Amino acid sequence: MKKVLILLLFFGFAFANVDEFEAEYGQYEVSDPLSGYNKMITEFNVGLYTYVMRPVLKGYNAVTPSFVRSGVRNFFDNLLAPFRFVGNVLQFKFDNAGDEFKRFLANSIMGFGGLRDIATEMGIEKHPADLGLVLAHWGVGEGFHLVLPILGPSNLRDTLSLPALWYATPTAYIEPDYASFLVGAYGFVNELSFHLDEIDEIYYNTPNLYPFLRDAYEQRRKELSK
Amino acid sequence: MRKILLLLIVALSAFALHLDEIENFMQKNIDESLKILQNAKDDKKSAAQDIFKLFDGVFDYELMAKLSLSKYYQKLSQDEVAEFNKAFEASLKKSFTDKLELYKDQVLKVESGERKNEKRYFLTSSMMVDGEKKFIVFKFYKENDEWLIYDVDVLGVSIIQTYRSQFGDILENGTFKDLLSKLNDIIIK
Repeated sequence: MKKVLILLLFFGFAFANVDEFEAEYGQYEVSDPLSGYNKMITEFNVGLYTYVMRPVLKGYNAVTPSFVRSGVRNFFDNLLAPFRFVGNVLQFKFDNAGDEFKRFLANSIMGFGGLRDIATEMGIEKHPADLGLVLAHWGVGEGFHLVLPILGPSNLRDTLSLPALWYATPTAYIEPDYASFLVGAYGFVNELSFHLDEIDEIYYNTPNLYPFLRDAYEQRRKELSK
Repeated sequence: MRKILLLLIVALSAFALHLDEIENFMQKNIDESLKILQNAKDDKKSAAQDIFKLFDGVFDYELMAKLSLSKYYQKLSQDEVAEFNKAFEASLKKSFTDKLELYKDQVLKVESGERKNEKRYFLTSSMMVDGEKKFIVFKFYKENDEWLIYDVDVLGVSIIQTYRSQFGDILENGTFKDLLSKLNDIIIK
């Protein structure tokens, strides 16, 4: 009997109560009726990245001085600060909204119109907030998961809220329309140029990419909207 | 036999991490890991080995493997379980090392712990990336007065949850061998 008890005690180290954990993870659900289409678009996006965007961005990074890329990035990011301010107010996150207000002032005035991110150097935090997150905070469900060409993972709610992001960006009002599109696309591509290592790591080192991207996107959005 | 078992229990207890030691232990070892990576230059494999020497005692890889496979775990033979556990642990270690490598110049700071219930403790750490505070939460569970990690949330994303979806999808559309080969394709280069 003693031996049995000792054995039980010893193996107790190795076996936890799995049912409790299963209950914990069982609560997670994601609506994915378009999984076939989503997987196809994900493959398209990976192909586009591998054969077009990645080589182009590697070249762009090689020939563009770092301060130019950072300046462009900071400039576009600063243009969205008022949008993040409103987004945080609408979620009643007033401290976060205050930070965004301070960031906008600091970067616009002392950061040469937003070219330098002086606010980060001063330790003022950035707090992402867009219309999708505002709606999520108010309890609007994400709907089904949807992968967009080029832009990547999204869901019904966030896709429908994308026009708000476009029209909140001052560059949307540049005339003619194609110039506005080109400027917006340049801001997007310049931002991507900072994330090549991260994208490489995720795209090429994940056992099963589509479910990973889907879950990572949906869980991250939930986290940000809390 | 009895003496050997008792010795094993005492030995295991000596490595056991207690609740009041978690914060210090994690901050010390996270700092050490980032130092190892900063000094590693190109030898990522050896850096990874050194890092996991620090953490091997607190990660319950076997439980993580089991949770990642969920209902499919019961369907595996003993040999398959052993094979899967090995591949899973290697893949998980590579994934962690690569993520750490991406952020090795940042400071990952342990912020606070929260006792969720009698058997769960979540330790929140954070780092500043491009002006934004990003959180990494180490999830511990209690087993026989010892605290072990069973999951890590990176930016609100549970690693185990994403594995469950990935592996479930592979096994619904393929075989155990497909899963194993996908895991084995991921190695530290």
